[in-house]
Amino acid sequence: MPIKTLYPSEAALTNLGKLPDTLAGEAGATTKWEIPGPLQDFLKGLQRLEDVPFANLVADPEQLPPESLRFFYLDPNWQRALLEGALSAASSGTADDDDRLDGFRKAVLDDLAATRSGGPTETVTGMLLRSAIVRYHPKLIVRAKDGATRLTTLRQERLSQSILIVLWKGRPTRVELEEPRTSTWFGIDGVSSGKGYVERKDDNGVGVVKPPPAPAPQRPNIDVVFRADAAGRQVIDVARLADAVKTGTGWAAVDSAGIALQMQQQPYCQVFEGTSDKGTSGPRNVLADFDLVDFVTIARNALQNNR
Amino acid sequence: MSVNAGKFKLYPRATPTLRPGRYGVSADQVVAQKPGVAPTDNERLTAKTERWDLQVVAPRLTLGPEEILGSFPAPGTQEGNVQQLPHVTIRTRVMPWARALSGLGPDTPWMALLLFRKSEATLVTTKTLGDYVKRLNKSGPDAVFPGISQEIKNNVAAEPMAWVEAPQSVLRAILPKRDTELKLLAHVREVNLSDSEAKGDDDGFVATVLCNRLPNLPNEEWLACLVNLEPFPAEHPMWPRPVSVAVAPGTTATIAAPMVRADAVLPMLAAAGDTDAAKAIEFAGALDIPAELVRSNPTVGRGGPVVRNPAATAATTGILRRVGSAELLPADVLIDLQRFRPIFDPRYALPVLHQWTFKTAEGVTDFESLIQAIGARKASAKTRVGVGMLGEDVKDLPGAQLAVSHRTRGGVDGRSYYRGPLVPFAMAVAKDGHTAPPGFPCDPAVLIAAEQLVTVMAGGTGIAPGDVPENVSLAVAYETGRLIALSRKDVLQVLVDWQRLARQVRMTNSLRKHFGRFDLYDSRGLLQALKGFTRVRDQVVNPSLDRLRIDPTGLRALVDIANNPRPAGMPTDVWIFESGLATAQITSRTALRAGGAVMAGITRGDIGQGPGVGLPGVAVGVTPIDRGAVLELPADLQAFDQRFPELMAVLRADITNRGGR
Repeated sequence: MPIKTLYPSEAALTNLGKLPDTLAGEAGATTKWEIPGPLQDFLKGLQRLEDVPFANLVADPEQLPPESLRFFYLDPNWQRALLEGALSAASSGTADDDDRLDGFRKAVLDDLAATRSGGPTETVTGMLLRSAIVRYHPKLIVRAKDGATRLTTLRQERLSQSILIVLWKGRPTRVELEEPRTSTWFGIDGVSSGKGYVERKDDNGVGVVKPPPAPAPQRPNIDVVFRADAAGRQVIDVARLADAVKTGTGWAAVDSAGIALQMQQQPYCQVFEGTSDKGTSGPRNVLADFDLVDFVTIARNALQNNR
Repeated sequence: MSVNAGKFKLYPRATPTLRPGRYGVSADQVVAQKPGVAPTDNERLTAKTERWDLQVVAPRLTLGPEEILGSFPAPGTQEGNVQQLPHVTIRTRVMPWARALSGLGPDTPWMALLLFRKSEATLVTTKTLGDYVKRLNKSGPDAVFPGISQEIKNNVAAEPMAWVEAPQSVLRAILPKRDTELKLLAHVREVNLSDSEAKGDDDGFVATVLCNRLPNLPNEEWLACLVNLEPFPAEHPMWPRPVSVAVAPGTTATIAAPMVRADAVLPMLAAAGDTDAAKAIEFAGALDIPAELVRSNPTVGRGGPVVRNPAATAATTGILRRVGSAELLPADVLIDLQRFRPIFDPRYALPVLHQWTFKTAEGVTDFESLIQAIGARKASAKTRVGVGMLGEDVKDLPGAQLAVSHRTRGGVDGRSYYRGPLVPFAMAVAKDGHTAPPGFPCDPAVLIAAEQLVTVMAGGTGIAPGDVPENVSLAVAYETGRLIALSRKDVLQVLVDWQRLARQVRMTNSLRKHFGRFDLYDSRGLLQALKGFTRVRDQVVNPSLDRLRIDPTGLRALVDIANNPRPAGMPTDVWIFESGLATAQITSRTALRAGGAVMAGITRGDIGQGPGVGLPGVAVGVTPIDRGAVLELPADLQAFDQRFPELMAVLRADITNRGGR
């Protein structure tokens, strides 16, 4: 039988002599084995729990009811077991799993840990958001910060139409969820009550927001009144809106540019911060506090100074 | 000059220098010696005054796609936000002010963006101006759009257009007030040309027309129309106006009321300027009201159909009568306005410059409302919506463990504890890549099955009393990882390849240790030693099994490194393997009995099963290496050569390539 049918190429034949003497991790190892890229990529993805069924992540749907946000730590044991399972896939019997293959596994795992991509050697945290937000604002911007440092986002992915998972490397003290910046839009808040409002902006279009920690309802608003309509239509009484803008801003006259400025909505940003110190010094920790509810600021910050 | 990216400037309007129409331009020439000094007669040159006509044009019946930079919500969207106002962006900044509405100043636009529920209006397309003139019952195009026959000279009546028809009651409810509101709904934006808002624009200035109505009903289809308001002077009945009309001293009725006193109908018609109804009355002298639209007035009389109220004696409307009867209706009976509507509530047709449809989403889509609703609440065991740590509020055991149904591999049903990878507390991490994190139930180096990761826990919630439940969390993780890898053909291939390569190196080293004393270029001795390993044959004979393996048998490497120094610390076992995932091996445990020559056994699969079956005819006596014995090699090499011609070919090729003997 011709040799060429046995081996892929002459180059491969030449390379045969270059096999390392020993496996990495073995006593007397001299040659570091290069881990194949596709394998490394796959394992990195696995570290980020990619392809892990949702039921394995959240075993009881009650843990993540509709319209909820949950923060979490990633269990390094679970992560390691997942990796070990994946590495065992090529083994069909106990002989393949013999400890003498440990060198190969060690080499792969050490290599993976060296990439600092959020493996079992690092603290990984994250959040799950189950909400209509995910569906209607799929490009939601999520930022996690530890003090002033922005944490690396290891993964931000929609698991379903309404579930978003985000993983960060490190522990955040502050998490910001910001409305994606799409096109210009004009809108009214709070219309479900039958009467709406818009946030008052100053001459530069900057939302007039009290410095944190002002709770939400204290924002200065401009009321938007609808025409009386027995059929339930919500048609703005524009003339009265102009009056409200005039009163709210103190402008001498209100024209269409003034109306547009007040009606134009800017990306909304919700901030979560740890609020109770638990008696320890140092930066407060969103995740350690378990006390995320008192969202501190509500800042429409994206279009500031935009006028 | 333009604004920075991400910023914008707003202007209330941009009025054109010249409105559309025909203009005459004339040019006179004067030549003077000194500027500003009147020329003497001698200096005056007579030049012919130049005159020419100029036509300023602007769209009137439709705005083409090149003029519409954007419509919001996007046309065809299925999940529009009920809290956002539709708007349209127009490329030519002066467009909304390019024409004037009769009786209004230059700050009022001639167009408005109207929003209809699909059921409120009818869109009429692929029509012509001629059709529209007919629909409005006017004498000609110029009676609807003054001067249009000057602007469009060729067959103006055939000019294509579309219109939207809606009842007066709807139009009055949604149209901006002509004199006060229209001018507040259009503005000019100066934007950076690189911003998405200016996409398709040329000068960084765009006009925006805002709608005054919210698409406030979820899951509803909407029609947004940018309409031309030119044909509708201030006195036109479609414009919003006070809707209350005096009926009798001290009482009022509104149009929205479903039932109205008969004597209120006429004033309402008059107030509405309802020409159709007025014409009907004019023609017939009275209006015949179907009996089913008429009810007695319970506040003044008995119930029952069309009963004249005795107390109301002779008071009649004077103009409304019952169908088929000469009897005039009493003034105090009630008329069902809803069903009277075709007469009372005429439909008007508005020219449509641009239109699109969209649908609102099923529920709330507004980011701010949704995130605030979540952020405002801390999740608890009672109220789970809101913010919290995953698994803190729902758990069956401290540590966020959940009791789950579990069927063991032995088929026994029971309950076990499970916790996913996402936990509500920080856990210690591993110190390096290959050391297990603290708390890992076993040494990963000896991990070969998921069951090794199962731990036993104290019983708790969800577990039968007396049961000793297992914790299967990490076993599930292991099995999940294995299944994911198995589902990925590419990954599996790499894993198989690399595990194979790893074994190969071991095997080679091991062989080198065991057989290193032979001169491999004179490979007969080695081959004879390998004779027992008949499965080598599969590797070489059947390349389809291993066509792409670099060195399936390890023999090439073996030949190559034959003269290299022997490494220290080699394992004592001999490894060899075959194609696929199975492995055969000879170890001192299975094959070599201490103290004497035994049959070399080759086993497949589980070495725990004990020594495998020796292969008849290929047995070779082997003495354990560690005892320092020397292998006894049979001399019959010819038979071997015949039996493994391909293997021999490989080895010979190698030897030849290296200038061997």
